[in-house]
Amino acid sequence: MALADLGIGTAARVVSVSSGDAATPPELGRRLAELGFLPGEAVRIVARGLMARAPIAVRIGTGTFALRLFEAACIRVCPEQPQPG
Amino acid sequence: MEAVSSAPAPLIALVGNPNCGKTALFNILTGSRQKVANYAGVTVERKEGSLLTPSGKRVRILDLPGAYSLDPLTPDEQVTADVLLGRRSGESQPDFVVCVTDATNLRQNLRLVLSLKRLGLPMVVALNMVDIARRKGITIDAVRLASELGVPVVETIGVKTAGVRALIKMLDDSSIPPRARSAASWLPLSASDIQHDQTEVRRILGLVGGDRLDGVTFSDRVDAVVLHPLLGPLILAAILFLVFQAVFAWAQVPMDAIKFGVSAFGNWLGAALPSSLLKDLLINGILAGVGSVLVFLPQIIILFFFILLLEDSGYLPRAAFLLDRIMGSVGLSGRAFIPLLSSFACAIPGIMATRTIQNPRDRLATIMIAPLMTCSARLPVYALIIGAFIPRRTLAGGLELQGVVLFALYIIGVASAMAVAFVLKRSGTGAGLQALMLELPAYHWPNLRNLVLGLWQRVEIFMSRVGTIILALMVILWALSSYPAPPPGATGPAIQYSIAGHLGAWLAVIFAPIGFNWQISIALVPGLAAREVAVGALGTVYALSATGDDVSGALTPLIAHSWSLPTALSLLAWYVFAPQCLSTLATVKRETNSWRYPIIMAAYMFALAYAGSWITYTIATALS
Amino acid sequence: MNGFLDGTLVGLVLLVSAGYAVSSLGPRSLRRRVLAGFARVAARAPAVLGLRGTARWLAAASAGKGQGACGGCDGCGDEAAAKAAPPQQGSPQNANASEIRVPVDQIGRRG
Repeated sequence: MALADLGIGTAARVVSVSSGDAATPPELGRRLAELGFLPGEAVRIVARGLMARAPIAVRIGTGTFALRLFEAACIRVCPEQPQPG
Repeated sequence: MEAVSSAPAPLIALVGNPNCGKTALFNILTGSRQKVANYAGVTVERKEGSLLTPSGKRVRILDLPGAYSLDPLTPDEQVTADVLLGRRSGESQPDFVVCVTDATNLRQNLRLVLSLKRLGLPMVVALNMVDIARRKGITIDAVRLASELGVPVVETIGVKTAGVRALIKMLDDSSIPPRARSAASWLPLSASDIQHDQTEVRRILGLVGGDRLDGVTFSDRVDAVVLHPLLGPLILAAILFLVFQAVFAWAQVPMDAIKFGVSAFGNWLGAALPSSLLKDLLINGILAGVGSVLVFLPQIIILFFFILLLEDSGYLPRAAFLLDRIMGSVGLSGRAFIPLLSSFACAIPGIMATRTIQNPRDRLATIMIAPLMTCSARLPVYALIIGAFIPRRTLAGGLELQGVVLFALYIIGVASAMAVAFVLKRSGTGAGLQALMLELPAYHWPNLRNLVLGLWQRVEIFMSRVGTIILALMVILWALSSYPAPPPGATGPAIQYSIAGHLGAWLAVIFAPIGFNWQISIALVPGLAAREVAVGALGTVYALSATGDDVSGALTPLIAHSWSLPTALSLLAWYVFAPQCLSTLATVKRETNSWRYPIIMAAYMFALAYAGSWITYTIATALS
Repeated sequence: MNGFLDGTLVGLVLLVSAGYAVSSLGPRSLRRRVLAGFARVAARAPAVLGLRGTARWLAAASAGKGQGACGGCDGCGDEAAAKAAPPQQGSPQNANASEIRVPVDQIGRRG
């Protein structure tokens, strides 16, 4: 699923980071990777803005970043399965 | 042993991610007082200092802008990459690199360390903020880390002198070899390279510790409130209100003290000195002029106290987060928030901070609107007029009217900046999608030492402005206002016959439609050097017009008496827009490398100022 | 007070103020010329006035970067360069070293 669709606080892992569609600059995907958005990293949404197009605050690893929605759209994640038992 | 040679001392570069405490470390090592703030985008140039090691070696230390990667995305990262690779003309490649990392965030920082290793420069890793890491329960095996990386690792606490001793000792001990000049080649990393690095980082962290992924941290708990969609903006507004109330309420006593002191000094001088030209210069030129500006020092200190407090605590990126939607709607990059915020202190560092914005057109748009953010030099003018014309009344909710009006002026400045940005966006100057990607560092308690140091710096800057350019301009203005002397038998104040008086009369013709009298018109001219000079100039001009022995401090009631409310409001409106600062225009010219943009900026701001003043004056006159 | 001394003092203050204003507000070439001019005058003044130190200081200021009318913050790096680099005085690469200008059209271009 897309990162932006995660609920606040739900733990997830990054699956892939792509440069999105033609509108986004190609360096974007690479810069996100350099910030730590890499497959396998733990990710979680810390906060959202008020309105529909507001940015989201994302915890990646040990750092927190504010991303606009089109940047977050480049990141696909998979929620962590809750531990059984 | 330091060889007595003419070879320059070895150059050591401090490199690291933003927010890892590099600049604080630089300050401690070099004894310098660079501005430290808890968000990215403050260090926009390379800054150099020097350090004398215990064994007498002198080394040069370079604080490079923070970078997430050696593949630059923004102009300031470009500086870091270019300096490290020796690509800067006139700039030698560093002899030694200290890679500063945040011990609480190794997962993110180690990738840069791996990249730097590839450069082949002699380097050492500084594991900074170990005190914070220990408090969080993170222990990192520095020895193991060094062996895994193949590079010496030293623990540092960048805010304490004791915390950097190990690093200084390491710099002392390492024989920094005269660098073998191999051409530094750098190939940009591909996606799989980055992935590979991350695997390596994970492996190392597993062996060394520091891989603890926090659950909900203290910062998270604070952010739950601060970044809350409803509470967040309310908190921001409340903070801003508090600041503006404090600027007026807390400043009253110190301001009265300064006014009293200045006027007492003036009276003493008046009695002690025989009547002479020098006495006139001292009292009516210097004391009246400089004294009028000096009175506002307490308010400036209070304003900066809050700015520094917010900076140091790490709140400001959160404010950028809350305001990002609005910034985006006028076509501004989210990263424009920090430069625009710096412009509240002074537009010059704000304009330079735009180097963190990647897109050139976006950067240009930010530069063009930065001077509209109410800079601290406007504060004396606003405070003077508000003090003279806005009654001290408490509104509903305990709010002081004066503080509210000041707040409104700041809001108008911001709103006009947004409007201009919107126009620029519509006219195609804006760029397409701009990324935000702003780091939200952990909160920390503002460092008292930093705060006091920062405030003291601000006091120094203010006093140096007052004691140099303002003083010089007041002397010149006094001379121009005293010569030529009035012909015998002349009526009216002497100043009207002087050069300044004539000049003022001509200017008053241009400014009459917006309600400026000739005194104001004259005062605007030296105000081109520094905005608050206008206050001093008014002080001098009115002192020379006065027939009694009044000195500064009496300026407020004087203008309350002789100006009309529409004139005062019109002057306020003028100051919101007018580009009255040659230094700012010079900075724009330097940053954009052309005359075109500062000229456009001056032109559009003057036009806005005249229009705004005219509208204000006309409406105010019609209503009164 | 002696009228002549009075006038001279005031004139001197005025001259220094005007020189300062021009040097800090004007373009750099003008600033250098003004400061160099003052340095020469101070150097030729009779030794009794003790202006040698001033002359040297002015000469150094005219060669260096100097500070604009803004009062100096650490934004430009001017102040920092002046404070931090005394041992390197005269080293040619230091004169332009404290500041790197990145023109708008160069941003984003690599290599």
